[in-house]
Order: sequence, then C-alpha cells, then structure tokens
Amino acid sequence: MCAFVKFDKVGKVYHSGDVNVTALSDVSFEIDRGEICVIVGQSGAGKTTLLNILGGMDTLTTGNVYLDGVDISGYDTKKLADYRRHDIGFVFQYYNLIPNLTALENVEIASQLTRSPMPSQQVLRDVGLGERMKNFPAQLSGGEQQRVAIARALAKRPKLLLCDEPTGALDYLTGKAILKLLQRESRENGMTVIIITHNSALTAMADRVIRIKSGTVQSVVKNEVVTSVEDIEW
Amino acid sequence: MVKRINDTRFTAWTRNNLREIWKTRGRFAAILVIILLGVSFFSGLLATKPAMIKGANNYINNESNMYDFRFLTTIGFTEDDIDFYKTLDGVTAVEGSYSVDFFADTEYDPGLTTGTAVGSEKILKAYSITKKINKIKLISGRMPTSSNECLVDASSIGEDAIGTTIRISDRNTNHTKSFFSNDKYIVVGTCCTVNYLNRTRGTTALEGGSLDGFIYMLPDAFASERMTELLIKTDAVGDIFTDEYENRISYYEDAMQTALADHAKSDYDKLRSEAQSKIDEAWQEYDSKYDDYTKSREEAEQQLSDTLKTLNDGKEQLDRAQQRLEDAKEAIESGEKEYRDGLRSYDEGVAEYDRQRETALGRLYEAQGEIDGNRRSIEAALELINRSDAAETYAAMQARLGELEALMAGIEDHNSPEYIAAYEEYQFLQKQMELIDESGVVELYQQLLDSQTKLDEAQAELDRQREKIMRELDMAKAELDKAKIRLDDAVFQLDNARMQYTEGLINYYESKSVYESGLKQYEQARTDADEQFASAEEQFKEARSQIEDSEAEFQEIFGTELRTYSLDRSSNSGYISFENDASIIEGIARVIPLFFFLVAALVCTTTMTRMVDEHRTQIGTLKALGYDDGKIILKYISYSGVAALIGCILGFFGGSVVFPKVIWNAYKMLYDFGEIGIVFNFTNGLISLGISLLCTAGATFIACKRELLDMPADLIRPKAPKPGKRVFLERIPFIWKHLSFLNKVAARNILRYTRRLIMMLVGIGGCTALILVGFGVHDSIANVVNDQYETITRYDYSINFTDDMSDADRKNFLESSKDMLDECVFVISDSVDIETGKGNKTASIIATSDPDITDIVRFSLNGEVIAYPNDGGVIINEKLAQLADAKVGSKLTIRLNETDTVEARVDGIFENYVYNLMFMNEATYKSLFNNDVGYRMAYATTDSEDVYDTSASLMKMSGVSTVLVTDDVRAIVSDMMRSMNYIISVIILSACALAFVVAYNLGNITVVERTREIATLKVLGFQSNETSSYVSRENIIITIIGSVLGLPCGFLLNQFVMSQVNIEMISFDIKVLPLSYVYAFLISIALSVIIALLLRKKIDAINPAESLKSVD
Repeated sequence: MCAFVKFDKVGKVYHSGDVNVTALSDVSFEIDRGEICVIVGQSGAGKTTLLNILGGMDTLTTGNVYLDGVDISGYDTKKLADYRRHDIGFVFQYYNLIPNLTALENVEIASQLTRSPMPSQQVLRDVGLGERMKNFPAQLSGGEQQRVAIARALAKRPKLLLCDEPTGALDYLTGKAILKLLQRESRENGMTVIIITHNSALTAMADRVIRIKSGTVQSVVKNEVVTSVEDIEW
Repeated sequence: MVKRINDTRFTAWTRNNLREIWKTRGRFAAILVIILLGVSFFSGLLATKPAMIKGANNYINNESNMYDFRFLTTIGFTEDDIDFYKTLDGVTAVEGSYSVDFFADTEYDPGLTTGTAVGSEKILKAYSITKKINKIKLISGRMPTSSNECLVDASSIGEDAIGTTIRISDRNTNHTKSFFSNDKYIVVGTCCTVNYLNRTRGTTALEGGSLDGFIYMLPDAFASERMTELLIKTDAVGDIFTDEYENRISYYEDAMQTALADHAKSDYDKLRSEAQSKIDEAWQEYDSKYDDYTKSREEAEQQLSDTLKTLNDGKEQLDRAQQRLEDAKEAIESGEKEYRDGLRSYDEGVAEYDRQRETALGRLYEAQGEIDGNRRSIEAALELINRSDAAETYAAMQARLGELEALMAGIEDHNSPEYIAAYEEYQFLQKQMELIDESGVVELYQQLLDSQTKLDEAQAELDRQREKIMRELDMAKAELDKAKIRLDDAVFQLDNARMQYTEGLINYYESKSVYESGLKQYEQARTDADEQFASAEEQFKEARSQIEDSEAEFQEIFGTELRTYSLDRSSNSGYISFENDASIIEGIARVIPLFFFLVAALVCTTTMTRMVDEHRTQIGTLKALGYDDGKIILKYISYSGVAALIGCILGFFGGSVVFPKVIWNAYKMLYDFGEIGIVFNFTNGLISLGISLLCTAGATFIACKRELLDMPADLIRPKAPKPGKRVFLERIPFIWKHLSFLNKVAARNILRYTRRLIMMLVGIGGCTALILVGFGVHDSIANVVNDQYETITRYDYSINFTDDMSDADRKNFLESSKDMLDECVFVISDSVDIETGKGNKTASIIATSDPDITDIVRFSLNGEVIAYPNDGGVIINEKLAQLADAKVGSKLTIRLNETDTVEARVDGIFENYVYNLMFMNEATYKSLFNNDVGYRMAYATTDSEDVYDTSASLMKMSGVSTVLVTDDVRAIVSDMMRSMNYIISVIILSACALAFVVAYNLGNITVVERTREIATLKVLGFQSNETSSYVSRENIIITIIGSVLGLPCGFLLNQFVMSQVNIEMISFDIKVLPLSYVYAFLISIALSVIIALLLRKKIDAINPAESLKSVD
C-alpha cells in the first residue's frame, strides 16, 4: 500500500529582502491512511511551515508532496484553494470561527463548499454540541468553539484533518476532551489526523510521531503502543 | 523611504512611528486626502465670497473710489452747490458729473454681445470723466484729450469701436442735444466703471427702453450748464458690504437727503422764478415785436391794395377800349362785307345791263331789218300803183271819207242837211271806193297802204320800243352809275373808319403797356412783400418755438415738483447684484462644504478608531514595556494628527486659492471687473484644523484612552471578537429563508458594526447626494436653454424697426418679406419695473393684438397651455410671479416712474426662463401706460436653411433698424449656463473624489479588520473571487443602500442649493431628471465596483496562513 501522505525531500526557503531563511530542508516522511500523526517540535522548528505546505496554504521550494498519491507541490493558488476546499480540514489553535455566524452556520459555511458534505447538524451532534447549534461563537466556551471548529473541518469529509496546536488555547481538561474527539474520529471513522504541537506528551496518542528540529526531520517513529488520551498526562 | 526611516538618527520609537506610517501609507494617505478634500472644499467655498468681495472692494474702493452718495435732482447742480455740499458734516469730497441718455448713430461692430449689425442706432448713456470719485478704469486705447473724443463701454461695446465715430442722432430732442458740445465724438479707448459693475446696462426713458452701453467724455464735451449729478464721498470707511460701512452710511443717509432736499428747494425756487421771468420777458418782447410787424404789414397791404385798385380801374378802361375797338373792327369788317356785296351786285348789274342792252339792241336791229325789208317790197308795190294814181284817188276818197266821218261825228243832228250831204258823199265815196276795192287795186293798194301803215306802225312800235328800251337802259345805266357812286362813297367811308380803328388800336396798346408795367410793378411789390412777411413770420415762428422750447424745458425741469434723490450704493444694480451673487456662493458654501467636511471628518474618526483597535496588542505591549499613557497616545495622535495637519494645511491654502478662482471664472463673464482677491480666512482655517484634529486626533485620543483603561495583560490578549448578533431580518423568516447563505452572512456582517455602517451610509449617501446635486443643478440649467429656445421661444428673429409701423407699413413689410419669413408677428415692446418684495425687478413688456403670437411664443405651465390675455389682463412668467408673489387673478404693481404706479390683473402665469416677461394685448398696454409707443418690433420665423443669410437680407429692408438672431441670444445664455456648469463640475468632481476616498477607506478598514476571517475562509477553500465577493458583497450592499438614501437627500439639497442660486435674468426650472438619479446612483455603484476591484487585490494578497497566527 502506498503511503497516504508523502513528503519527498521537501525544502522551503523564505525570501525576505536580501535575506534567505531556510524554513525546511530535505524533509521526507510518509503517513498512512487512518493514522493519527503528531508532528512535534520547538517553536521555530518549521512545523508550521510544514503544516502550511501540507495544508495547501504555502508552496514549497524544492521536493514533492503527495496526498493520496496526488502530487500537490505544483498546484497554483486556484488549485490549492480547491485542494483545501475538498481534501483538507483545518483545526486552528484559536478556532478561527466566524464570529458573526452561529455554530451551525460556521459548519455550514464550510460544508456548502463541498460536493458531499456531512449533514451539519449531525456533525455538531457528533461533537457533542447538539444543543448549542444556534449559539454564536462568543456565546460558547473555548472547548465548545474548538468542537465547532472540528465539526466544521469534518463536515467537509476531508481526506486529511490538520490540527494546529488544537489544545493550545484550552485548559487541560477541555484539551483532553478535544484530543479524545480527534482520536475517536480517527479510530471510528478512519480519518487521517495530523496534529502539530510543541507538547511532546501528545506523542503518546499518535500512531506515528515525527520530530522536527531546525527545519529538518529528526525522527519518524511508528508508535506501536498507542495510549488512550485519558491516560496521557501533561 | 524605508531606508530613510531606518536612519539611525531616529530613535527606535520614532522609527517605529515612521515605519507605521510607511506600512500603512494607504490609510495615512486616505486620512490626508479626505481631510485635504474636506478642508479645501470647505475653506475654498467659504473663501469664495470674501475673495470675490475683496476683489470687488479693491476695484470699488481703492481703484475707483466709488461714491458713498449720489445726488440727483430734476434741476441739476452748479459749482456753488458743490461748495455748499462740501461743508456738510462728514462729507470729504464732492465732484460733479454730467450724464445723459441719447440715441447714437454708431459705426462699430458690437459683435455677438448685442447681436446687431454694423452701424446701427444705439441708446447710450454719456458720462463725464471724473477725477476723484468714480474714477474710470481704462481698459484699452488712451484717455480722451480733447472735447471731441470719448471712451466706450469695454464690455458691451468693446475695443473694436476704437477709431470709429459716435454721432448724436438727429432723433434726439433739443433738450438732449443741448447737453453735447459736439455732434460727434471719436472713440479713443474703452473703459469700465463702478457705475456698471455687472453686464446689465439698465433701462432708459428713451424709446427702446434699455441702454446698450455707456460712453465717457471729458467734462468740456458737455455743453450743459448744470451738472446732472453730484458724487459725494464721506468719511465712512470700511470694506464694501460690511456693517461698519453700511451703518456709517445709514447714519448719514437722512442728513444727506434733508440737506439735498432743502438746498435744492431754494435753488429750485430761484431757478424757477428766474426761468419763468426769462420766459415771460421773451414772450413780451415777442409780442411787442409781433405787434409792430403786424402794423407795418397792414400799412404795406393798404398801399398795395390802393395800387391794385388803380390798376384795376385802368384795366377796366382798357377793357372798354378794347371792346370799342373790337366793335369798330367788327363794323369795318361788316362795311367791307357790304361794300364787297354791293360791288359784286353792281358788277353783276353792269354785266346784266350790258347783256340786256346787247340782247335788246340785237332784237331791235333784227326787227328794224325785217321792217326795212317789208318796207322796201311794199314801197316797190306802191310805186307801181302810185304810178297809176289809183292809190292816190283812193287815198283822197279815203281821206274825204275820214273827213266826212269826222263831220258826221260832229253833227249831232243826223237829219241835218250837212250831215245828209256829208253822209251821201260819204256813201258815194264808199261806193266808189268799193268799186275800186272791187277792182282790187284799191284793195291791194289799200292793203299795201295798210301794210305800209302797219309797217309804219311796226316802225313806230319799234321806235317806241327802242326808245323805251333805250330809256330803260339809260335808266338802268343811271341806276348803276348811282350805285357806283354809292360804292365809291362806301370805300371812302371804310378807309376813314380803318384809319380811325388803327389810331384807336395804337392808343389801346400804348395804354395797355402802361397798365401792364404798372401791374408788374405791383406784382413785384406784392411778392416782395409776401416774402418779407413770410420770412418775418418764419422768424417769429422760430422765436416762438425757441420760447416754447424753453417753456418745454422749463416744463421738463419745473413742470413736476422738485424731486431730489440722495442715493447710496445700494441703488447701483451691479453693486447689489454682486453682493447677491457673492451671497449665492455663500449660500452654496453654507451647506455643501459643511456637509462635505462632516462626511470627511466622520470617515476619519472611524478610520482612526479602527486603527487604534488594531493596535490593541501593540498598545498593551508598549504599556507593558513601561511607556506611559501619554506617550502611547501621542504615538497614535501624531499619526492621525500629522495626516490631518498636512491635509488641512494643503487643503486650506489650496482650496482658498483654487476654488474662488475656479468659481470666479464662471462668474467673471457677468461682471466688468477682472480679478478677485485671494483671501485666507484663518478663522475658517483654524476651525477646519480644529475639526480635522478633533475628528482624527480627538477620535484617536478617545479610542486610545478607552484601550488604555484596560490592563496591559488584557490588552496583549486579543480582544474578544465582537459577538455575532441576530439581525432583525432573521425575525422576518419570509425574507431570511429566501436569502442565500452568503447573503445572510453579508446581512449579518453589515449590521454587525452599526457605527461603521452609519459612517458608510452617511459617507456614501452624502457623496451620492452631492453628485445628484451636481446633476440636478445641471438639469435645472440645461433645460433653461433647451426649453427656452426649443419649446418656448419659437421665433428666429426679433426685428426692430426705426419707426412705429402703421397698419399699412406692416402690411407692406409682410408683403415684401414674404419670401424670407414664414411667420411674422408685430409687437409693442417696452421695459418696466415691477414691484416685488425685494425691490424692483425689470421686466420686458410685449404687447400685441396679433393672435399668431401664440404660434411664435409658447405659453404653458406644467404642460397646460395658457391663454393669451384679454383686455385688461396680463400674463407673466413664473419667476416674476414668484418674485412679485402674484397669482392668477391677483394684481401686479408696475412702477411707471419714481412716484407713480399702475396695477395690472394677472390672467395667467407661464414658463419662461430667460428674462422676465409680461405679455398683454395692445388695448391693455394703451390703457395701462397711456402712451403712444407703436409696433416697432416683430418676432419672425423663417424656413430658410441659413438664418444669417436671411437676417442679412432683413437688415437691408427699409425701416429695419436691427435684427436679433435668436441663435445668438441662445449662445449668450448658453455661455452663461456653461459658467454654472463649471461650478457644478467642481462639485461633482469633488464629490466623486470624496466618495471614492471614503468608500475606499471604509472598504480598506473592512479588509484590514477582517484579515483573519478572510484568511480562515481561504483556508476553508474559498476561491479568491468567492472571498472577495464575500467581502465586497457587504460593501456593495451598503453602497446601494447608501446611494438610495442619498438620492432623496440629494433632491432636497438640490432644491436648497438652487433656491440659493439666483441670477437676475434667468429663472431655473428646478428639477432633477430621472436619468440624473440613475447617473448619480450608477456613479456611486461604479465607484464601489472600482473600489471592490482595488480591495480584491488586497484580499488576494492575504495569506491564508495568517489564520494560523495568534491574534496580534
């Protein structure tokens, strides 16, 4: 079976005036379908760049990225937008809900973009927000907002769920609940989930752990014993 | 730029601030430009009136030294009066001046301004050049140096007239002519004067009604003894139209009026009595001279008639003599005829006599011959017998027988013997004889003897006859001779008579020639006398008319009560209309710029508030770093303040210079003086600076203060996003359900930021309103020309005639112009002043009884046709009705002169935009004005292709003085309208510029404010057009709503602005065409589309990865 996500010698150089900053160099790894992958590294290690490239928000300088066997590295902005629209679900650290839309509408704004979305209300019920669909983000707690964000991402039936520090702005318990939700999604629905974090503790819940340091892959470890989220402490 | 900012001479703080400006240069420039536009519009429009007034003030007060008061009386002034008025309280200078309206024969080409042809008659006003007060301004040419030179009106006549001659027309009255010392003046230059600040030249009492221009001459070009007016300068100082000046003037006003009235009254009385006694003396002298003349004339007549009588007697005698001569001549002629007849009958008598004599003698001769023949044969026979004596015996017996018979006859007694004896003898004898007879001899002899006797008898008879004839002939001869004698006598008498006749004739001719020479002498004397009388009469008539002239002059001057006028500058129409025009600008400047400026200020407030909000984290950081509040506030205040300050300064100076100039450009064509001043109203400058700073720095300060109240820790954390809200639309499920999802989002977004929504609505709505005002003003104006000259005024020409046109003249003219003109309506034209609430308004009167007038001028109001008025009624145009507050059926007060008015009934009100007009029929005119002005003008249309060709032909027709081509007038009005359009373009462009900057700025705020949201949408997979439509949808909806709201505001604003715009000769049809709403709306939408496109670039530039960033 071919790898679901494949980074092949990916390099990224930012040009800022006369200065060239190398964000990524020679990054290669593979992730299988249905896996939970945690990418961990310090601030500035290049994990956000990696996420941007994988999420179709940034282009790479060298190398290739494949998702489900398709090379996305040559995509132009329009194709990238399309790629984001159909293949990627995003979960942000700060939820990035549209404040002017209710929970349901925030899900709908994403689901209406795709060809065969999940029913928005069902997704919200799935993430445990069946009762709060009509609330505006400002009326929801952080965890609830993040659930909405996850629902929004899932409603599109993406190939890949990308989570950028999903617990970064949440308290411990709420964070755990969110992670549990993500784990459940992967296990029950076979969703490929990539979590980017600087919190090494989370690696315990991953099927695969990729460590990034200074723009290079330090290690790719397949976790044989996956710990349930409840059992993770940080 | 960036490098310069990085200059190390700046502290990090300053560098941060400068970098901030550079980074957000779009916003910085937006604030700067919005403030610049707002301030320049505000201070520019507000400075326009002062700038115009400053220019006018410089011209009126400094260059010209315009009068404060102008004294006019019906009697004029002398040098003594000047000296007197100089002593009045407050008076600093007095100068006299001459002026008179006159008909001028000109030879210049006035060009388009009056549309008339070369060398036509004009009505001009002549003024004398003054040295101290009301100084004229020479525009071209040179000042006059001698009394036969003049300067002409620079604007209504122009420099083309230089070198031509202006003649005082013979049409002028003697009184008018007496003002001039020459009968023609050479134009040496052009000038303008404060007497005519604008292009209106006013009305005149002369026929025709309006002045065509003025001329200026040296005082000695006037022959008049008395000056027409006095120009008074007082110690009132101060700029024109200022309270300071006007109060001082109204303080002097009464005193001036009283002084003038009193002084003029005594002058008047003196002059009047002097003039009266002069006239009386003249009459006396005239009368006595005329008496002398009459007397001498009578004497001469008497002499002449005596002579004539004598002559007539002689003539009678002559006639009698002639008669006698003629009788004599006739007698002579009849005598001659008689003579000739006598002579002829005499000649005939002679001839007859000769013929008779001839015949008679012939017959006698023949008879003699016959007798002689017979005698000879008888005598021969007798001879034979005699020789036998038988005959003798027989004869003896015979003889005895005879004797016996005689004896017997003598015896009475036949029985007597004697008798018987005798008888017996006798018987015997008889027997004897019978015997002889029986023999025959006796008988033959007897026969012979008988024949001889018979012959003798015949001879005797013949001789008797001869004798008788001879006697008769002799008698006839004697008769003839007598006749001859008578004839000869008649000849003699005739000759005598002829001689006498000739003598008489000679005598007659002699007396006749005597008579004729006498007659001739008499006739000569008669003619001489008649001539002398006629010339004397002529002289007397002249003398009389001179006196009558002076009486008329007297009547003109003293006939009415003395009237005195002390006029201040407000009686000068140009002075007042300039103030009005300047006030119109002020009127516009009162609303629009403020409106404009407030929109600008509000937009700046929003912008700065947003900026501070965006910088929340930075403020928190700075605060956390230990910068005190003041310094932090200063950072933002300096940002907005610098933008506002630069914008304000540029706007203030730029606007104060540019706007007045631009607007004056439009008004300049209405006024005679060129340049306006530059006024910097620093109060306005400070006010606009204050408002600008308040709206930018002030708003910044308040926003900063609000942020700074929070603790640094809170500040560093992102501000909780403004909560979403259900909008009222959601409560209307019917609508909400039918909105697409994105529209729902847009609706909610629009209503999310109420303040910004209001800002945007005010901004966009305001700008739309301003654009609509621009179009509305244009509509109100554009229609003036089109409606006036395509719908209302249908005629191609107005033709002026040199004299009143009688019915016959008109018929002739129509006949001879038939080929050129399609229709031609003769009218009486006059101009009058109508009393209105705001002083007098000049209106033109057109009177005619020709019903075709309605074909040539369309009278209608709001689409309804207005009937031409009947006797006693007038119809007037809408604006005049408004000004005079007249309605159908109400009365209109018409000012005849300074004191008298008449009222006319208003029968109808019609639309007319150019000039104030009053139409009526001939009878109404005559009854209202009781004057004898006749048909001297005609409106005409033509079918010909080239209107100017036809006008040239018309000009050549006899009696035609001028032909005004409507197209020319239209061009003039069009030009004026163009000047208004100029102002309007300024408004529209400024409004568009503002609308653009405002909408761009607000759109920009939306984008910047929602960068994160946009980035998130991008991450969610929104394509770039979807993203920008997500944002622009809101802006476009707001623009649409704002524009729609702005349209009614624009309509109202247009009404207001147009009501402030007041041009003397033109009334506007205040309206906004439907298309203008469409334009204004479309311009706003177009602007927002352009802005959406600009913003789309900005939106596209947003990196979706932004969404990953923590909130800063």
